[in-house]
Amino acid sequence: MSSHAHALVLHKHPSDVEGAKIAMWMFLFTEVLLFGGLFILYAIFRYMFPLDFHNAAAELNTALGATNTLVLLTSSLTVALSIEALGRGNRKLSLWLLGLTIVLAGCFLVIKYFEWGAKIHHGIYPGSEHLQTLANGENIFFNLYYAMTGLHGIHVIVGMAVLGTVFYFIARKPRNLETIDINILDTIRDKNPRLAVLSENGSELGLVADVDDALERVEVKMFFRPDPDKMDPRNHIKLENSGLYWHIVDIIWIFLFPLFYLIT
Amino acid sequence: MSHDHSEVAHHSLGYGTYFLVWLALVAGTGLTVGVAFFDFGVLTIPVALSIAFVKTLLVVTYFMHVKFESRAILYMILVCFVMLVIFLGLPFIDFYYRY
Repeated sequence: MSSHAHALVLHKHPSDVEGAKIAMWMFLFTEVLLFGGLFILYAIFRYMFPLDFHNAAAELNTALGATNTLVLLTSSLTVALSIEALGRGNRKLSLWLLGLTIVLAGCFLVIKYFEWGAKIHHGIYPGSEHLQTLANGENIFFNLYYAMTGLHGIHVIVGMAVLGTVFYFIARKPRNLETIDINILDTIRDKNPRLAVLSENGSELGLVADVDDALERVEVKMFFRPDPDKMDPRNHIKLENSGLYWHIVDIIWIFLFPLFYLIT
Repeated sequence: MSHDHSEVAHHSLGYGTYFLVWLALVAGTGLTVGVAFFDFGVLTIPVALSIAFVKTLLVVTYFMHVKFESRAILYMILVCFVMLVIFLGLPFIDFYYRY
């Protein structure tokens, strides 16, 4: 019965997996262009002030930057594995890996917090008096550093929210409340003619076999008990698309890390 | 349902492949940090960007599953990449000859 209902669900909400993926990629292209604009700024200012950029980058904590790179790479791995696990029908493993991804994203932000905190403690933040005393190029370097890693950090937060939402979709009990347009009375009569028919106030009217076709309306309460290991197939594309977003966040960091931390 | 499953299975990579890609990415990170200690002069940025580019290719091909996607998505990505190179390259060339 439940599998029959499932087929109906799929039929009623046709899902276009390919279309959903293409739409996600188009959005990712806009993200790439968004950061691309900032990379132009970076390239031009670095070309203008090579020495200042070199000196200012020495202030950044390479160890923390490298740690964060590893954290993000690992979170990319866990979300890819989570998608793979869901594709294979291993819902529990998928949820664990997805949860781990979100925790790693949180780790990235915590490390970022301490990194920024140390900089701000030393008076290095946009508009600070200390920055005004530095060379022009160093000032620009730190402003770009805050703008670009800040925008990236916002993407990490959004990514956590998106992954968290998909986690909820996969983790929640499947809800298969759908109207099924079948002649329920005939079906019940065939299967179990000895079922009782109740009136609205609950009193017994007789057996279902005795109900004649003059009956206009039958209300049936159906309780689906879906197999917890069988999930809504639409969850897979949701997880895949949020995974794509997360990988883009990772890729942007792959470029940010050497350009800001490793030019000393 | 069964149709869905066979489709997923068809596109599937082994868990091990993902670990190998991750190892390669970690190695790439080590390499990026390593080469930062050497001075390649004008080649410093091209070297760093090349490593980042190879890492990106790995992420896009395997983690983002493009290897198994339709041609449509692959061509879209290539077009986007060419556009990006134009958008990044032209302003910089303009700047280079102006100042």
